[in-house]
Order: sequence, then C-alpha cells, then structure tokens
Amino acid sequence: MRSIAFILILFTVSPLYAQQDLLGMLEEEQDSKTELVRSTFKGTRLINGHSVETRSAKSLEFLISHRFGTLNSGSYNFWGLDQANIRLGLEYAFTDEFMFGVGRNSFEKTYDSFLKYRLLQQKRGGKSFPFSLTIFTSATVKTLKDAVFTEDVGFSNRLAFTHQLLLARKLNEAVSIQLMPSLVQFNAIQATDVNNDIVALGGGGRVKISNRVTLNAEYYYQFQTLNPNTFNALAIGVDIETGGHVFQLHLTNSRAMIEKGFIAETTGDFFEGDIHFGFNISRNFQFGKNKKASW
Amino acid sequence: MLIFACAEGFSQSRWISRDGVVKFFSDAPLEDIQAVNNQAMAILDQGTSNVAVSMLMREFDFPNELMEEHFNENYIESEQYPKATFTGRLDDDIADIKSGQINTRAVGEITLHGITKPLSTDVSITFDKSTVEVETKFMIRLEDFEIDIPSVVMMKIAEEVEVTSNFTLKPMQK
Repeated sequence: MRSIAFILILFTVSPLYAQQDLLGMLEEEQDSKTELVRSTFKGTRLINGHSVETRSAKSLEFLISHRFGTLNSGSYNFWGLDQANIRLGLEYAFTDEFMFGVGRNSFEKTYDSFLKYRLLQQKRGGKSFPFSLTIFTSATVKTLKDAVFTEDVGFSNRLAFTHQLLLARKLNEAVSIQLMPSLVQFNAIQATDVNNDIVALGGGGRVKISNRVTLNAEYYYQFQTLNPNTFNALAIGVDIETGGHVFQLHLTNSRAMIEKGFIAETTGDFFEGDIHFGFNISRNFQFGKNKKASW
Repeated sequence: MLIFACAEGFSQSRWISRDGVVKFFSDAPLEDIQAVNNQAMAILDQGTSNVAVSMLMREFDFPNELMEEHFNENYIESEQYPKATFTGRLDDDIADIKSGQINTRAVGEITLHGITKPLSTDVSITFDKSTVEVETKFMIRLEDFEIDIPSVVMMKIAEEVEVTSNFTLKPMQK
C-alpha cells in the first residue's frame, strides 16, 4: 500500500514521468515491428547496371540515357560530346516486386528487354533480414549490319542474354553496398572472339553526401573475356535529386548501357583516359493508387 | 519495479489504439499533398488524464511513390528520426466519465524530426461502453521543426500543414 501511495504522489507531483511511461509502452511495441528497409539506392540503376530497387506497382518510368565519346578524344570531338550514344527505355512495374522494361540503344542498333524480380527485401525490427536479393534477366538483339553480321546471319545469332543476381545491403543511412554475380551469353561470336559465355562478378555501392546527392561506384570483374581486347567495366558517378527527377551523372570506360555490352564488350581502358561522360534521366508516371504491400 | 506494480493497478482505466488515423494536408500554390498513416498508436490514461501518441513516419502513405520517398529521405529524414510523438495531459478530469462527448484541450509536447515543441490543441472525446474516440486537428509550421524545403519546391509544399487525427481506443489488455 505504501508503495502505491508513493507512486500516486509521484504522479501528481510530476505527471511527466507517467506520460513518458505511457509513451515508452507505445515505442516498445513499435520497435518490435518488422519494417522493410527502403531506399537502398536512389534509382533502379546503380550506374550502368541495375540496382536491387524496383518501382512501385503500376508505375511507368521513361528513361533517357546518354554516353558520350571518350574524354581523351580531344578538342576536335569536343572531348567526346560529338559522339553520343543514346538509350531510350520504358519500364513498367506490374507489382512492387516485378518489373519489365524495353529499350533501344543507338550503339550497334540494339534492342533490349529485361525482367526484374525482387525476391527478398532487407528488413529490420522484429523479424529482421540482412539483405535484399533481386534477380535480373535480359535479352538483347543487335540489328546493326556490319561486316560480320550481314543480313542473312539469322535472328538467333544476333541475340545475347544476361542473368544476374543482385545482392544488396543498406549498411546505414549513408552507405549501401551491392554484389552482382553475372552470366553473359552470346549466341554467336566473331572469329576473333574466344568465349561465348562470360562469368563476371560486379561490386558497387553508394555513399550519401547529402539528402539529395549520393556518390556511386561500380566495377565488374570478368573471370573470362569475350576477346583479349576487352576491359573490366568501371564507373563512378553522382546521383542528384532535384525534387522530381533523379539525374545520374557518371564517368565510365563503357560505351554500352546494357548488361551484355558493359560487362563483356567494354573496350576502353579507364586508366588510359578512355572515359565516357554519361548521364541518365528518368521520369516516373504513376497509374492508379500506389498501394504498398503491408507486412 | 514499483512503477510496474503500480501500472498494473491502473490498467483498467487505460485505453489504447494501434490503428489511429493521422492525416496531414499541405495546401501549396502548385500542389496539394495529402498523406495518411493508419497505424498510429495512442494511450489514454483515464485516471490521470495523461495521453501519449507515437507513430512511425515510414507508415505515412502518399498518392505516389516519389512523394513518399522524398518525404522520408529529404524532409522528415525518417531513418534518423523514425517517429513523431506527443506526450501530454488533458485539461479536464475525465476519470468518472462513462459515456457521452466532451471537448477539452490536450497540453504537452510534440516531437517531430528530432525537435520537441510545446503543443496545445482542442480535443473532442467520445466515450462509449467499449471504445473511446479521440479527435483533434492542429497546424504545424515546418520551419519550427527544422524541416528544410528547398526553394525549387517552395511552390509545391506549404509552410504550414494541417494535421488531423482520429483514434478509436479500446480497453488496454494487460
């Protein structure tokens, strides 16, 4: 009885204790909730390659990407800006986890399409889960009529495929890292080429400089190469968010903006100055109400 | 230990809600933005008139994904400041009320974006046999909570937003 009387006095003297006690009960319950870890990266692309991020259901994204010529091509080519490659892409999310995209690349007149499925998502709280896993697969068709691929080469010989596992972990508010085991398969290769199948391991990440700016890096190491003249793809870039768009500006030794191209067909040597300036801009259109899956 | 022993003694007069609805509305020249959180939590201690409210900022739903991302990443910084809370006390003694509606004031402190400010707001409380319904509406100035709005989106986000809350509380089970 005495203790209750004591507490009663405490309550009347200082109701703040009682209020904090009530709040404590609520917060304890909220802290044990399982929460999805979101915004591991700002965009669906790390730089050249995909990030684990998918768009929310029923959103359509229009993506415009550019890669210019190399910085070391001199003032005559305006340090590469005279030679632009462009990819126009349309990407639609059927659900929060599953998206589909198509694109057209001016480089080698290539059409590409991909499927991307978010299998596992990092979670914290009650039932935490340490990483996100997204699977990615793409098919591309090169339509350029060059000396090797003449018109009668047949459709299937122009195809190349890429399969990737994207594994990412948001370490903290500022830093996220990603690993990308990848397989690129060419249906047909040229006489000077060695391997049809290229296994590569990509690694990359981002560091947040401010709420609206992140610094990104991405590197793909090839375990075997298409031919002796290819290099591993390296890219560094910044993501700048301006309140409606995300601009990605980057420097990379790859000309291609699709997986089979930058993973296996990069011919530039970054450290010799074969660096392409490039950027991605995206615009998102939302169809219907965005209904996040509850957990 | 004493506090726990005591809290149990009071538990029959406590009411709790786990699915409170908190909405905010920003009315700016170029864009109206509305967001809703359906999982806000509140406790009312009828014996002492003390109240506590807590909600996760991540649980606010927006009409589009980009707005939601900007809200969490840029303005509210929900990774750093995951919750908004209120602790306070009602002006009136409600210990003996069994049914009917009363209008009173809640006076206390609100914490948002890591900043704590005093808040007093009119509250309507409706007592029923098995539920207590609490409604309130107030304005908050983003500047007071150090929520920075860059000048490029100034026309899209209001300096003051209207917050409407509606909680249906049930007896707290121990």
